[in-house]
Amino acid sequence: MAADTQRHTLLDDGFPPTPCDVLVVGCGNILRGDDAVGPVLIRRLWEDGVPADVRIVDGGTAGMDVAFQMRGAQRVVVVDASSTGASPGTVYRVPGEELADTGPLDGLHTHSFRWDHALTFARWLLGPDCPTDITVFLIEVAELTPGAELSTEVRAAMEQVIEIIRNEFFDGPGIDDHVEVTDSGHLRIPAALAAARFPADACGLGLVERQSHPELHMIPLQGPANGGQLLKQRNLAGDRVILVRETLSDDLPVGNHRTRWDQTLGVLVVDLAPRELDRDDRQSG
Amino acid sequence: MTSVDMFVSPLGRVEGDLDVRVTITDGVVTSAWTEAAMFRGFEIILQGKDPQAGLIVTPRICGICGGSHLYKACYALDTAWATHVPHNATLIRNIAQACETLQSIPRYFYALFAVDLVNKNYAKSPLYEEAVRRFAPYVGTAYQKGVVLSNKPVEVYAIFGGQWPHSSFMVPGGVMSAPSLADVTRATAILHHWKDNWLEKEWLGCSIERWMEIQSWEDMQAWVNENESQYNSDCGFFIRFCLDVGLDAYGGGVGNYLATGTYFDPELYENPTVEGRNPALINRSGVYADGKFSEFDHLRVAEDVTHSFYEGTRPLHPWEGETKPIDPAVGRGQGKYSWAKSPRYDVPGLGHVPLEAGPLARRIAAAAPGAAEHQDSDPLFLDMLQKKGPSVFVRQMARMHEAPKYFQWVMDWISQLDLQGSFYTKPQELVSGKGFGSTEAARGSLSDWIVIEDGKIANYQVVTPTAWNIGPRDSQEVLGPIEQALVGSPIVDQDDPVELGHVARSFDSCLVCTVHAYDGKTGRQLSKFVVNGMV
Amino acid sequence: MSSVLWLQGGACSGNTMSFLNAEEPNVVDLIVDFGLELLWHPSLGLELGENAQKIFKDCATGDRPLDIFVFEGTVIEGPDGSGRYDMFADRPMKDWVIELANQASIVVAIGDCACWGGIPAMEPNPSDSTGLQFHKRAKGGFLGSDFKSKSGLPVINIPGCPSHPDWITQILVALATGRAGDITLDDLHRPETFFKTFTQTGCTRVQFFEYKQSTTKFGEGTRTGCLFYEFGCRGPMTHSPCNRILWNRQSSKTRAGMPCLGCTEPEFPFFDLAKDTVFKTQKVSGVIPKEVPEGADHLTYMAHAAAARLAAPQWSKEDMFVV
Repeated sequence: MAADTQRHTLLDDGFPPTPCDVLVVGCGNILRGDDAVGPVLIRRLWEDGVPADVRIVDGGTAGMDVAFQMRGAQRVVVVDASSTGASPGTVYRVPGEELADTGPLDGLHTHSFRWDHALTFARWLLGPDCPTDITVFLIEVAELTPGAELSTEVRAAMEQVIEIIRNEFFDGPGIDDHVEVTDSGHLRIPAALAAARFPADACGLGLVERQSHPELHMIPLQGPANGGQLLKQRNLAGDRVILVRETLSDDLPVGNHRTRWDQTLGVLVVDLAPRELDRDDRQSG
Repeated sequence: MTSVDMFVSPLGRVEGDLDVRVTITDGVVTSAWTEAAMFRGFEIILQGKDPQAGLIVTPRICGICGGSHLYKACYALDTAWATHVPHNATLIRNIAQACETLQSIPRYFYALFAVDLVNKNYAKSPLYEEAVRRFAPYVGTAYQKGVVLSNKPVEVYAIFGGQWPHSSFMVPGGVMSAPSLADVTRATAILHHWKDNWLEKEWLGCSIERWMEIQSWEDMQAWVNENESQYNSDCGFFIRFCLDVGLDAYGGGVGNYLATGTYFDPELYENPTVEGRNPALINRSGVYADGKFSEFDHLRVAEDVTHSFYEGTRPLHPWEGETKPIDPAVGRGQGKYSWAKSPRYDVPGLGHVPLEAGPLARRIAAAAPGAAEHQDSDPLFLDMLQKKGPSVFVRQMARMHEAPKYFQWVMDWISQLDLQGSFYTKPQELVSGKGFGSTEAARGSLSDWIVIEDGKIANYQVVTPTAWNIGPRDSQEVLGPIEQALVGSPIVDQDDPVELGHVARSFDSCLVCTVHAYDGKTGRQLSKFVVNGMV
Repeated sequence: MSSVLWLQGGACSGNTMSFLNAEEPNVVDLIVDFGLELLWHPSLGLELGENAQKIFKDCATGDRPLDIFVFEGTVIEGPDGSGRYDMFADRPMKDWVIELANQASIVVAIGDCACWGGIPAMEPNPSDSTGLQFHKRAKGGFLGSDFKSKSGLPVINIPGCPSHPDWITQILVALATGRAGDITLDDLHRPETFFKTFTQTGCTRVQFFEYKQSTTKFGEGTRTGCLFYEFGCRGPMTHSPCNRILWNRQSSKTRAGMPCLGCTEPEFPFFDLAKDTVFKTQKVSGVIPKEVPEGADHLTYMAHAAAARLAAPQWSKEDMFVV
């Protein structure tokens, strides 16, 4: 139908959606006791770190925004609280095929936007672009007192779900999220990381001072026509390279550096602490 | 007696094609003809243009020595407009010109010349496997390091000039840039990196200072055997390999040399003039012919077009020079066979004789007596010439010797820069004048003559080192330097005449040289090969 | 493995020399890692004589498949259309060009000469030089405006005098790894990746441009100011990434105080280097630059100029690039 296709065309702003392998969404109201489990789980994933090809979304009260976030994701995991009367802490896993029919679009309410509304809306919004590989985890609440912490049962269930997600959805150690600074002042980015974060092969650079060491922020640009640095292909595998010496300084810490994706700023953060290869540090917020 | 005509095409390209026809009798070259096969007409293009047009156009005559073209084009204007050039500007120009040569030396050596050393004709040499390991194209260990690191010196060029190739940052009155302290420290760091990772580590196997102690052929031989590191460096290996396969036995050439010199003492060339040029040079000019030195005088230069595809009947000094091309098909009927004009120099007492230009020529000029304090005085290659005679080997060693020598000079010039001082004095753009600018590009003497009238270029003539070396036979039918160097070369395998490649490439010509081989009796073509031109 | 044949016409080899400066990937990497099968190149080609000529002939007749035909330098048609001013392997080079261009999957013109005729095509164009598919800005050139290579693409133009090594290597890499379809070409057939922004994008003098503060002399005078107002810099009118992807990993012309000559545009060298045009901004009434930045108009420009000069802060009148 003409109206149907028009809706999808409106989404096409000429820029490709930022791709990711896995999108994890946590739904729920953080103020209502155990209803917070979705957002709390997301917070935990963020603190502990996720592989570079994983995007996490706090869909707590974002409602419809979750559907927009699904654009470009290969696989989607949704975590929400349920109140079905089962014993607290019960974990339900609803696989994709079961979710074909999630109910009517009518009656969507931004203040009452649960996982099923999210999926229905996403299907309507994204149409053919809606991811097909969707898994929903539901955790049965113990109580929904405003202001209460997570109950013990729900917290335990949350840990369980985190474990499942890490094992099943995050491919082993994830794609290599290290970048390398060479002594010639180049920054080398592995192919998968570059493809995941900089699909248009262009980025801006910014240097931010932290207490002990600077961080390099790499800002994905929508296309080389917007200026910025061009990520050059340096070998057949598709690894990329940019000259950063000029932006930073002549005394760059040479070697491999951990990166993390900063969701708020929308940038890839390179930690420029002088470090040894293969140190097993965790990034903390 | 077997007589074979070889015509090898194309031989190597920068500015066009050079065809060489060689006659072989009983396995030895007895006669040679060179032909340059491409015409663009830069001298015609420059007529009527802005006087500074040469700064933009002449580097495009050759992108390999573009910086050298810029250098001499600038000095041609400096002399025509009687400018003032601050010391800093002279130093920066010297640094940039030398850096272009420092890049050219390894890039040319590994990518152009040494790839021939792995020719199967040398398989019997005990050093052959080692040569392959080091010099095989793309995969050779020495090839990779030499070629990839050769871009370092031109990074220094880019620091001062913005980019390499093709920046026109040298202008009459000085230079366009004014470096900062960071520019100087970075340039120094980059040059040290190049020295540490290639010049001393791979090529010499010793410090620059140790190499510069060599003053004679005996010194050089002793240096090779002095220790493991020198014996096995690329230089030590190259010397041993050349002697083993006989590259020191042919390719001598005419034995007469021309250098117009380059690099100026900042104080002595603050107000550049044509007459004041020779005494201000650091790398001296000079002519060595028939065993005698004489001073270089540009007024003794003339261009002969008897065998070139241009109208004209007598040799003309470049200030009077003309460039009127004719159709080669018509020209051949008149006995003309090349696009290269034939430069000749009137040597006092000898008349017009062909002179070889290039690193060997300037190393000979450096050995002349009477050097002033600021000038290079270096006896090594006169010694080698006298004891071993000219050859492919001696010519190549002269070229490589300039890497450590110029490196030292560049570091010294950088240290003399006064960052607080001036880099440019705005000149008066005179509406008429005559100028002469010249330099030693990596491959030899390169000169411009400019005549300005009514605020425009009235005449512009460029004489390249390759023109000196490959210029066709003149009205006296005397062979040019490359032609002469090919004569006497022993050809082991007529189907794969690698010896011709060595000789032609040792001249590092700007033109692709084509050598065709024909059997003299039957006219049957034996082989054709391309000796690649300058990288 | 993509086969590449690289020939030169009326060329100076500046693009080849620039190409050899490439790093990440460098030329050795390209050949060894990317599997570019360099059938021949005037300086890097390994085959000599007969073997080399056989390669050219086999590619020209189609007996040997040719993926990428690279041409550097002008196509020389003089004298009188015969092409005899540029002979190669016993024939006019232009004859080789027609045959190889029609056999190759993709044809790439590297450098201004091959793209639009460049410096040899300056008045009076004594060699009758032209570009592969353009003569200056006019579509046509040697192969004609309708020419398409076997892959259906027109001649891909990588202009510049010379081209930057990254422009060359990145495009060759894209072509060699089958991503020709990813390359968007502008109306001059230049890859937009490199040629959409301006030389001015990323120029360190841009703040001086903003306040209309001109450099007043070369040398130490270039420690401050913008080169557009007096020295003929074409930065705002020229499409290139020269200030985003630095030259030799160090700098660019404008950063070093040398005005941009506009060398990626078909009209280079501008004004045919006529008297009083070299390193001098062409002006109307001696004051207003004849050419204002692309997209602007003279009236707006004048208004801006007045306002900018009034608003210019003190720092814009002092040296910025200090020792």
